[in-house]
Amino acid sequence: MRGALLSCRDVAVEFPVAGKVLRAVDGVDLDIEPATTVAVVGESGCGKSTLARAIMGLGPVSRGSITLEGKELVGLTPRQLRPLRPAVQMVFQNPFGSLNPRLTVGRIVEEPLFVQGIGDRASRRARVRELLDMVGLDAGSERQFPHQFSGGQRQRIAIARALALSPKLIVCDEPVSALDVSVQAQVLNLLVRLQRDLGIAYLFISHDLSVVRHLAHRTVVMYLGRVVARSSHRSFWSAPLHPYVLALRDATPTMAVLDDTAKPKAVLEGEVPSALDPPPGCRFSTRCPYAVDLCRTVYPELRPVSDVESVACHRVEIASDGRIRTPWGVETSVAERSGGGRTVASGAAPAVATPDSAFIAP
Amino acid sequence: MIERLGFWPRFARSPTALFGLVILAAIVVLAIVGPFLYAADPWAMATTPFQWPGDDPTHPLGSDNAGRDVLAGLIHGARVSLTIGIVAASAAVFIGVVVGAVAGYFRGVVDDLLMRFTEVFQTIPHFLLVIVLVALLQPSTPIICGAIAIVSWPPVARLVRGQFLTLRQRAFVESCVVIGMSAPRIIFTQILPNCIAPIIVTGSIMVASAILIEAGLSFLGLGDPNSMSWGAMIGFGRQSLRTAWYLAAIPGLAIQLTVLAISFVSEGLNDALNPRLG
Amino acid sequence: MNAAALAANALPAPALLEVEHLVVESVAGAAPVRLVDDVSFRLEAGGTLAIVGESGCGKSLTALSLLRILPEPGVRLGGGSIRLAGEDLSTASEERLCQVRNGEISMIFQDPIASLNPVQTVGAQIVEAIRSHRDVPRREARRQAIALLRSVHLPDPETRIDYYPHRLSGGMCQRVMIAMALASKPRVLIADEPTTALDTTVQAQVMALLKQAQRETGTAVVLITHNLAVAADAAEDVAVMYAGRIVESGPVRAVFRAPRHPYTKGLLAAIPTGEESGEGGEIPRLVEIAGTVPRPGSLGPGCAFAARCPRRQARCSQERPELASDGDPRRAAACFYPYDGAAP
Repeated sequence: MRGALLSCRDVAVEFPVAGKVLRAVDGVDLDIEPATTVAVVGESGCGKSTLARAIMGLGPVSRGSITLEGKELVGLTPRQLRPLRPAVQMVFQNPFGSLNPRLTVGRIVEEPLFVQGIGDRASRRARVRELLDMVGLDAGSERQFPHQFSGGQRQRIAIARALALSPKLIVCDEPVSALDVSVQAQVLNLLVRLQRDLGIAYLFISHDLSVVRHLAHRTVVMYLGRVVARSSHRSFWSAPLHPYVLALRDATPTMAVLDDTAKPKAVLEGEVPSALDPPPGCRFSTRCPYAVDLCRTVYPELRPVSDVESVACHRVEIASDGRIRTPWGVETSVAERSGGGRTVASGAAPAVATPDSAFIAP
Repeated sequence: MIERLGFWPRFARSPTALFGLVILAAIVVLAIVGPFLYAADPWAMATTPFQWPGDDPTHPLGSDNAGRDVLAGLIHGARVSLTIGIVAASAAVFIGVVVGAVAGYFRGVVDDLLMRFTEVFQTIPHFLLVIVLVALLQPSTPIICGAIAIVSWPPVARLVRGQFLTLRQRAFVESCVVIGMSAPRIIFTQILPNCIAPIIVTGSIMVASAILIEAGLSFLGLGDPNSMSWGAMIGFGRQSLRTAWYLAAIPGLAIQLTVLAISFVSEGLNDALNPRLG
Repeated sequence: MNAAALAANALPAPALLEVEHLVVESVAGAAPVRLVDDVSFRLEAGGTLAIVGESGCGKSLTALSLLRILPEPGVRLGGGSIRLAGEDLSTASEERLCQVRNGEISMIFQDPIASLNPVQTVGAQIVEAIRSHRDVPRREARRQAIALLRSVHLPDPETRIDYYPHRLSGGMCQRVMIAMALASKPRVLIADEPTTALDTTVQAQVMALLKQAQRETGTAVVLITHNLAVAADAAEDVAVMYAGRIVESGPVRAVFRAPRHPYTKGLLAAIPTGEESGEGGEIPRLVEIAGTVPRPGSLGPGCAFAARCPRRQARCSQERPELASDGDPRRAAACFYPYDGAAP
């Protein structure tokens, strides 16, 4: 895609295990445009974390290309990679393990500047203060140690550190999964605000659909190392065009269960098969209630449904007149599934999710 | 959230650790200040041989088979034993940390090679190797320190390697890779400070074992002939164990007390540096 | 609840599980610190109660104290009564408690793989659970174990019964735990965050299994969770905890659709719904609760939530509000200025 900040083409990460090959990531294409959030969703074994780590250079890449603003990242030595590092930074899942317990918060946030040789001591100090302000931490927190802060505050410190080099893309690996709901809201609001104010793109890895639906511009769903559905359309979850997307949505508990109109939802049986011996044909066919013989023998390639959506499923019928039908009752059209979706952040501050403004943090 | 006490309050919670520290401090003071307070030359044949402690007030702990003052020997021996203990242990820790850190951080082929190399040293009987080394080269104090270090480093290497293998995967280390930090910098500024505690504890135990090895060497007559160590003193008393057993007992007791004190302090360090709750 | 309301709405019989004024305190420091502070709730036979709250609110400790398996000596029961069918467990002997544990009250935990003994086969552990409460010969117990595994939909139970836990996935281990917990047909099952460590689709399977098992055995369930949606789906009644105290309780539908306590309201508002707001489809701002949870032992005389509450008045920092019903006797909220509580 032209203009993409980060592009992955046919990326694969393979590990030899006991004579066989574990394909943790098995041919993934991905594009991230500036100032947008691409969410990667999936369950254990889908490869989303492995993909994130490969992009960051924390893990090996067996095949494929990863380009950052046109520059190829795969195959670079650590020394060659160093000058490119500032553009792509990372926020990790565990707030209790991602900060060096022996360093002060000020040192932790200053470290990226120090390592990249930016500024002098005084200017770095000032920048640290600026960054901590940006994430909402009080003056004086520079001198404290991580263990003196709560989980949510530690994630903010981690975000401040990630911002230090003014990155264009931040890879967030389950950044709020370990946080309580009310704290999660604070961190999510912060991430959204930073995107709006600084134009940062996010690659947001998560298993939590509610969070993903809240802030993703484009969603990519992975299963056993491959992308099974990709969309930036607003009906991606409400009218899914892939049975696994449907299953994920139905398996996620929401408050809608309290509505009078709530219907009991089917429970998907079985578990994710072993990545060492993936099933022939569609990898989801072992659990899919709509699988037919074709699904079990021929792998469904990712095919475009519209200009903003692609799915990898044989059972989705796209007629020549543009009508789309699925066995699980979704009826729509190519025209309906085109365009739309969430706009990229503008400068204005958005409305609050619920009318009760009493809780807005200062 | 549990309050974290400072290091000293935690250390002081254990009476044995405090006791050990006091004894050790006394021995160190004795080693440093002793020769000035009690100026006798340990090598001088000052009086008649085989005097028992208490016989002659000018030689409070008696004299050995050659008439040398036992107390003077004890004081100088403290200095020798502690010096060798600390130097040898430090060298062993240094070698072990370097080998373990490189193996644990880089893993793969480097790790395999270094671990095989470590195993070679672990499988040769320690004391025999020290004897062989000292016999091949001259038995001087630096050589002895080196020989002891050479047999003592493998456990440190294994320990450090284990720590590095674990810590290397922690998110805060990965977050340093992500900002472009170089490997040596990561090893020294990120990982090593976080596994200092077990290294200190192991190092302190190693001081004790170094003292014991040196004592054994000197007892066998393979030590530095120019330094009066406690082991050498026991060696001098070897022939007369039946009659003048005090010649072996006094330095032997000194070694025992020192090793015990170090042992208590290590335990205290271990508890203080790795606090467990409840 | 005042005396008149009590008399007017007197419940016909004592509930299966009645917890009153439960206190759990930490004695690690100089003075005892209350981690669970005057918690009371009731559970009817066959019913489901969800205890929800964020980290540190005391919900897990409450669950552990029901079985008297607190991490002593640092943390201990400081007061209150735990009545199971009339019998007070807070004063029961260790012998009696052994009978109760897994016999009458069972528990399953968050990390299923860590809850199983890694050096014993799954079958050995289930057989042990079966035989600890009834005198059953080994062969018969093994047969029962296989039947139990089949009832929790573990595929291929005859083979898997001899597996070691590490060969099973998280979902399968949790099924084994449920099988073990229900082996003796307990009256109460306590589930402490049973699905938090599992994949989304597996979570749904385990929750469905719990519901089905509950229907078949008539077991009452206490579900501890931080996920309000899970509570909404699985429970009939809910108790919301904050800083060691229950701040709101009642039927789950009523409480979640029209919360009265400001903390409950704030929690519900903080959950992202994924709905878009506005024409432009900009990402809406989630409602935040300002501040952080107070540390145990640092609470003042007033309401624990006062510092963060948008509705606080002077009284809130001075007096501690007790749980009070207003109109609907099934609902209670510990607040001097609760929200309306009427459906929106």
